[in-house]
Amino acid sequence: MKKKLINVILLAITTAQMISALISPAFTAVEGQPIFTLHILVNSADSLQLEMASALREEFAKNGIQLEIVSMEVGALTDRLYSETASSYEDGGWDLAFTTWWWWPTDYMWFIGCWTASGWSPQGWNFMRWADSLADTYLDNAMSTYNKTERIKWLHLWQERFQENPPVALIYWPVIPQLSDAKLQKVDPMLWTGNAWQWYVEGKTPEDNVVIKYSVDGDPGMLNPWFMDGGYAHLEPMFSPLFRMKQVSLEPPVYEIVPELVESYEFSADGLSVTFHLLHNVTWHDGTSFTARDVVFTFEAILDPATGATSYGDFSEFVDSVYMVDNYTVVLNLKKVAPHLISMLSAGGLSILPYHVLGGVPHSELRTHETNTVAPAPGTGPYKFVRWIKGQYMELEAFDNYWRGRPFVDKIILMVIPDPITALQALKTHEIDAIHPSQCQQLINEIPSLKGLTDIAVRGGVVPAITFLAFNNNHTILANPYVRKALCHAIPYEHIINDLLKGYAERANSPVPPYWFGYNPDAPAYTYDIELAKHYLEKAGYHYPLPTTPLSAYTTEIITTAICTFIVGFLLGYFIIKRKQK
Amino acid sequence: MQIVQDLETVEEKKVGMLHATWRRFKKNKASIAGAVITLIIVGMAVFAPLIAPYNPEKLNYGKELQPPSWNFLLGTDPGGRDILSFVIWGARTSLIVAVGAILIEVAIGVLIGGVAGYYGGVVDEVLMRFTDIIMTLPTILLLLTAVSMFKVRSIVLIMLIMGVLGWPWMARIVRSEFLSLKESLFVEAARSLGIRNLRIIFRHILPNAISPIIVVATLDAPFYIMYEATLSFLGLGDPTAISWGNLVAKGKNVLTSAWWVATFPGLMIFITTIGLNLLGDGLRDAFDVRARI
Repeated sequence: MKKKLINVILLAITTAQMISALISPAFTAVEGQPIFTLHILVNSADSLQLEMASALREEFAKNGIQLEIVSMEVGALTDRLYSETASSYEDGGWDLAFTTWWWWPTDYMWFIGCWTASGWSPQGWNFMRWADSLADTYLDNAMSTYNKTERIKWLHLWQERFQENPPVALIYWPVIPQLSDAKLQKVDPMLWTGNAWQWYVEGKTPEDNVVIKYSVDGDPGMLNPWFMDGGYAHLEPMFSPLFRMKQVSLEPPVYEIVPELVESYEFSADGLSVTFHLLHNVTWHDGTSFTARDVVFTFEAILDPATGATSYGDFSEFVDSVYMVDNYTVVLNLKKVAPHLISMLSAGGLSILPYHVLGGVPHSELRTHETNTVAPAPGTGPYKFVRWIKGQYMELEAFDNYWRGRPFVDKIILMVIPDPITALQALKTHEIDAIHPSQCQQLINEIPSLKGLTDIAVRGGVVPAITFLAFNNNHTILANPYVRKALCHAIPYEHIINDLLKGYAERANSPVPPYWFGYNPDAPAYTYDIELAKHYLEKAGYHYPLPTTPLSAYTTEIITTAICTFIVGFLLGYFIIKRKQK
Repeated sequence: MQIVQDLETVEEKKVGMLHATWRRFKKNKASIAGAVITLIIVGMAVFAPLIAPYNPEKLNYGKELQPPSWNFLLGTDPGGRDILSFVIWGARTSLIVAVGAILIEVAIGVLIGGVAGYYGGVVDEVLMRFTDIIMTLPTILLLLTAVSMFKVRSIVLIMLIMGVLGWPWMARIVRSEFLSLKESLFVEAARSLGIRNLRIIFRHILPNAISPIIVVATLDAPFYIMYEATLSFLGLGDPTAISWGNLVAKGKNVLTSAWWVATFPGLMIFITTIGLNLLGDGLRDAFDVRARI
């Protein structure tokens, strides 16, 4: 009978242990009762987000905010972020999440869609649901004139307002270390292969046969730039938009927009139409000459929602129609003033495709056309397609009749190497010459080990991107600007930038990256200050610590284990003595 | 009075059998080593809070990726957590997942195997063919598919799925035990007394089939530990959980510059698996399972 009892007790203790461990207390949790609980969504494939979230959990706990980390696949995460009905994690949405946005340099075509009330999803990218009428006015003013000084003034005001009523906590502008062979010049962490016509190798002449192998993490989803879904590095050397980005210098990063297929252009007096005079000596990779018909075909197809081009939204918001004056003159009619038009036309998504190949295809069938999957349609870019072996590599060859002249590098081979560490090993053994920037970002911890190697170069500066902690502005607690400000002050910026990113980032005080048009260096940056965070929380009506301060979860766990151990030891001892007496 | 005495002799006989098993068990040095390793790991798991020098989730700012030193005996991970503490607490997760999965496996396996073995005929055919189908599917692929069907990642989910998918081997062993035991005299006697079938299954046959169940369960435990580590490594576990697989996955990204991150949790998985395997083998020999079937 007694034996049975002991067994039962032992079993009970084991079960209790199991259960207590299963509910797995977050040991960095709040001591005592939290003032409120928030959930942060992290991308399960991104280890940096997880480390940042762990740091936030520790910091938020100091002010009595319980942070639960929820890790999910990027698909499920995006569904939650862009859910239109839910206003918190509990009802299927989100509370907090990390996001990185990439801009195209020089101008800010996406700002309206990202930071204004009219950009709320599903129309735009403002999934934070930030609505600040003052900020909206500033931004609208900045986007409705061609006058640069005027625009800069409004953008500066907007950035100050942005920090005053923060929709997100700006954390950093990433610095991407572009890893490449030291002799290979002009490889760019932002343009990827987009400026391959600028690349050259020290110690070689244009007569030498130069082959550059460039690692990418996967195959392109499609071979058509209009429907780009991750194939930029593969497609940008083959297809040309009307304008192209050129790298002027890498440290500091300076870029310039240069005409690619255009000789000159002029805006009309009212700013509502633009005339483009096209180059005469451009030919497609198949030998046909390039004319205004190709441009008109491209823009008409993109303006047709039936095509489903990625740039449809951004383009059709400003562009009304396009017509051809003669074989080398095209006119774009605008719906409203578009000060960013030229930078928009330099984006890969608006690359010109050949009318003589795709002109006969109905717009709705362009997405499923065979040139998207097997071999791409001819382009006008500096490189032409040679072959593509899925999962292994894609080979591009310099185009002899490129209007700027045959590029220096004769062949570019885009090698699929999914694992960044493998790519780094391949770079060390000279199997490849450059690593794709998205992989370089994951190799930050390895950079110190490259110091002694003179044949590998680490180049690059701040890229035009912003990483921030997004707040759900529709959430009942986060709707209060004081709470958002408090959270902005509770982020350990120094730790994230210096320790987690090893200095490969710059502290951001504005959503506009530095060195770029309209950047306001005087916009205030939030500091890491727990006391200030507490002050703002009190302003919002939350007081911490609460009157009772019980033990932390970690201490409780230690005490429970000690007591359990003591009981088990006592029972075992008792049991053994009893048996010996018998 | 007579009955009480009889019962006591039965009790003594039972003790005698256990003693015989123990004698056979301790003859094999490898089994003892396995038992000791397992005990150490279990002790680590149970007393984790008392042994671990640090809170395993505490981030030490500025101390990321420190090599092993007197402060951090096994170094630190990319977030600045102490690896020794993490590894000690990780034993808890691994063992809990293994024990949980085994409990589920035993529950399902015994039920299906017992019913199939006892009733025989059509019931047996249907249940065993179903078991065969599950057995032909490659376990790790099945696990990967099952886990990735769920959007939210958690350790408990992995435990449940492993248990739910892991029962076929157990069911077969239990069935074969039942096939032989149901013909024995004491079952015949019980049946002639008019005792209900379920009672015969659970009170008369099952206690006699306990040793193969223990052996199979022990031999399955290392697999569950490895599967959990594998899934966590592939990013299908809960990345916030204190799990060896997670640490190995983190270490993989910094393998060339910080070998200690992946090495120590990997070593723990290795030691635990070896220990449990040796223990299971020893138990099988000691219980003499195959000889008795």
